[in-house]
Amino acid sequence: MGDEMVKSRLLPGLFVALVLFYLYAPIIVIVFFSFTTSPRLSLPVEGLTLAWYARAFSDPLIPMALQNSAILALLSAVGGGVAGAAFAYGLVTLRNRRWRDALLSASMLPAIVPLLVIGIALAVFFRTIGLPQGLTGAAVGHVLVSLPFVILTMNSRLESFDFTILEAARDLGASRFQAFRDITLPLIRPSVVGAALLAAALSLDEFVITWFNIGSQQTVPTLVWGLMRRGIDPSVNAIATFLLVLLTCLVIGSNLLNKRNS
Amino acid sequence: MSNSSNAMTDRAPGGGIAPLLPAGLFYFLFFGVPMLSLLVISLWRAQGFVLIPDFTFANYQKVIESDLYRGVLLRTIGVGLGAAAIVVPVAFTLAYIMRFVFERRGQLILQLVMLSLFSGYLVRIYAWRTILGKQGLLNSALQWLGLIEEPLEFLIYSQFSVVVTLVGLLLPMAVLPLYSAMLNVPRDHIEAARDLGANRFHLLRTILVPMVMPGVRTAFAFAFLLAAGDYVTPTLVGGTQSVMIGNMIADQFRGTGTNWPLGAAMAFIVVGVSLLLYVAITQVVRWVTRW
Amino acid sequence: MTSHAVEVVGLSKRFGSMTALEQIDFKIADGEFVSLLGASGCGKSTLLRIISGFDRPSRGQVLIYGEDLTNRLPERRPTNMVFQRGALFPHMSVRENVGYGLRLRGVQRAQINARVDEMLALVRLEALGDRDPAQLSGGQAQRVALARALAAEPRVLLLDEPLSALDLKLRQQMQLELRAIQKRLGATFVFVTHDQTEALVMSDRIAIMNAGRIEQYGTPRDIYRRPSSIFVSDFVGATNLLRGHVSGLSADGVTLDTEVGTLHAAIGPGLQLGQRVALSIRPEAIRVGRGAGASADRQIAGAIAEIVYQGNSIRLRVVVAGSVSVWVECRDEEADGLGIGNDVTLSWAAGAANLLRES
Repeated sequence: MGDEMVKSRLLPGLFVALVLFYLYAPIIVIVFFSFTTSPRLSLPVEGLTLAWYARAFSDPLIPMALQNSAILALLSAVGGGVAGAAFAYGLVTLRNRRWRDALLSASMLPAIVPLLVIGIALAVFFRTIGLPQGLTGAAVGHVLVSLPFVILTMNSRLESFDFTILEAARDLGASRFQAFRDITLPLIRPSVVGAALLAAALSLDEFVITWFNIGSQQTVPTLVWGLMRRGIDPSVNAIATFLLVLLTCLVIGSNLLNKRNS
Repeated sequence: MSNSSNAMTDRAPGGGIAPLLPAGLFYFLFFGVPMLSLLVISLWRAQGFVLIPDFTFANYQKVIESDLYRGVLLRTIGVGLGAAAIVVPVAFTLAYIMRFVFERRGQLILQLVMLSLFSGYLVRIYAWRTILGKQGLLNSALQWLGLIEEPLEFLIYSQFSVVVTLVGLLLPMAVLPLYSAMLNVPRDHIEAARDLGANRFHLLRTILVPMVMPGVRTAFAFAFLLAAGDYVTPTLVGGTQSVMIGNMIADQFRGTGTNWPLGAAMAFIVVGVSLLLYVAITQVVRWVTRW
Repeated sequence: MTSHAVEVVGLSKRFGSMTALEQIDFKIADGEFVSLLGASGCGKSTLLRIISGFDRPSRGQVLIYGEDLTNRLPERRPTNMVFQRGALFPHMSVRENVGYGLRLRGVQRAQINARVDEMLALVRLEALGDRDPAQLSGGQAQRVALARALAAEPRVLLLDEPLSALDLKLRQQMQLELRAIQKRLGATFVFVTHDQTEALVMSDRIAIMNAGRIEQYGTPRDIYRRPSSIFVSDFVGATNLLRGHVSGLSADGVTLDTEVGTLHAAIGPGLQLGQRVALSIRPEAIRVGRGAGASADRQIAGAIAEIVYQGNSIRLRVVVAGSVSVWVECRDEEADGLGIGNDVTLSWAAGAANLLRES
């Protein structure tokens, strides 16, 4: 590599580093201050402690919030993952290309309409049909926001799926079901699991729709919201770090599964 | 003709519509119906807590004519445009670098950028409050270093803090469509244009931007819509002077002075204005990038 | 009782308003290697997909060994297909791929293994049984696809341009190999290709397809030497078409008024005075004489305008009657001493010219 190459990569490299710093600065701050003794989150730092974690996890609302978040994440993973994967599969096997594009665009709408509007529309809808606020309504909202992302990732995986191998299987004597069981399923399974993990991550992080629909129940984000509104409380950093680790694991897992499949 | 040739090259054995049904029904029932209901309600009237079915545009009129609501709406559009005006060029540059400078590391950078998206929506907004606050990280660091005496007030509870926070939230959403659009631009095209004597500016305006136009559009739509529709950011890091339409909509549905029809009308005005702006900006970009 | 391996009766296929196949009738005998040859979009792949059961005809029937299978699902037909790019199952090893058809039929493991060994030996890939398809070269992948299709013991093997993705040297080698395997097994092969050389080299018979119809169905030699239409003569090999009309009919032949003068040809069926025709003469069937001769029944005079050296042969472009180009192919030494601008006389044997009607 010549000098010119090095120079031509210096500025772009700096730019990338700056952008990444901008994106990760908030995260670093949160994780860092979840371990420091100063309650005011300012410099200089005096000492390190795990006290905030102890305090955060002794919050009486924590068990309920964790349980509800887990239930919602599971429902989103199974419901959003499976329905979204099936939808994406249906899309790529659709014969009419115009319908295929139109349906794909339409399925992206919940990702573009402001979450606030979706949250309110659902709240009004549930009120109208007489469903009391709670986990059920929140679960519907969580599946709804996960579907566009699941469909988009599955769609791009399936676009490169070679459908002639299904014909090859049929040609060798496999029924429609046998071809699905022996060929399609083993090949797309990692992608489906990856999409489900993504749906779980989106659900764990969902706040706005939850807030308008869950009523008096709590999830981890609504709990964090409550703590934030009360002023600066370092135990927020502890819960946030915990959530961050959880989300990162899910997303990295999802990516690895998708990559292995491509 | 194009239809029949599609049928000829069809790759997939018709899977039928069965796989589309579960998600399709879900969308219809829990997205289509609620959104339409909200649209209908925006045409009703509210008397106290009672909703009266009607067909009136009075709520829309009220939002447009009231100085308060109009001011908030315009500020929201301003913040949305401001955020998009920063996010799209930065994301474009980043995507360009990922695609054409660090080719092989592009995917890795993308993974890093996207990972930040999934690191807690509330948490990141909260973190910016921690960083920008009056006694926050930045101010205390600057004071500690002796660069300033008094904390900088404009850093927090201002339009500045709202835009800084939104840019961080929206950047990953804009990088994704731009990067995938640039992956579809063959290096040959860029080299051919340079070979024909296009300078960098020409290259950008007449080759690259038109070719990645769908990506630019999606990135802009994401950035503007999500910025204008965000509710948590102005609530947590915005001050009284930076209330956005999202806060006012939420107020119509939660708390004391609720008015569903008015809130619904505000919601659809935001969506409608966003769509109009989206079309307008697309046209402008198309016009600028013409020969 | 001898029934044909494949019999296609009155077959038509429409996609929306477009006609892909129009009234196809043809038969393939047991043990024959038949190619469907045509440009892309001529309907050859559609015809193969209908025989294999992946597409349903709009009208007509497909019979295999006398049995009407028009409405039978692909998995229940005694045909197997070798796909254009192999279509190997990426999550199965080579052995699992080859054995898949037998596994579906519930054949015993030991028997499957024996059959897989036999097939891998047939395509000379004994050593690669445990590889993943991703680790194979293009030629190896196509051999595995062939082994997989043959392992299922089809009564008719269908091949959809299986060699088109390979480079020339490998393709030529695979052509001969495929042909040898077919002869050894005595199996019936239906082979789709757009490559005329491939079809000529491999086939017992060729069906030339154009715009959803079969233009001509015959042996490679027939197709090349006795093309039945201007399309076929032009599509298979290179040819010179001298266009004109019939100006005289007699017992011993036809007199033609053409763009290069008056010519003579053997009589063809159903010719009328004034009919528009073309005389098709292959470049290699033309002899070059030095010097300007007189035009005669099967002889024209012209001047050399271009000389193309091709290694084993030389092509000459001769301009006749001021503006018509006629290509001649000859051996290197036959062209010794000839240069651009030289006058030459072109002539051909009576049997070398085909009189074809303009449509």
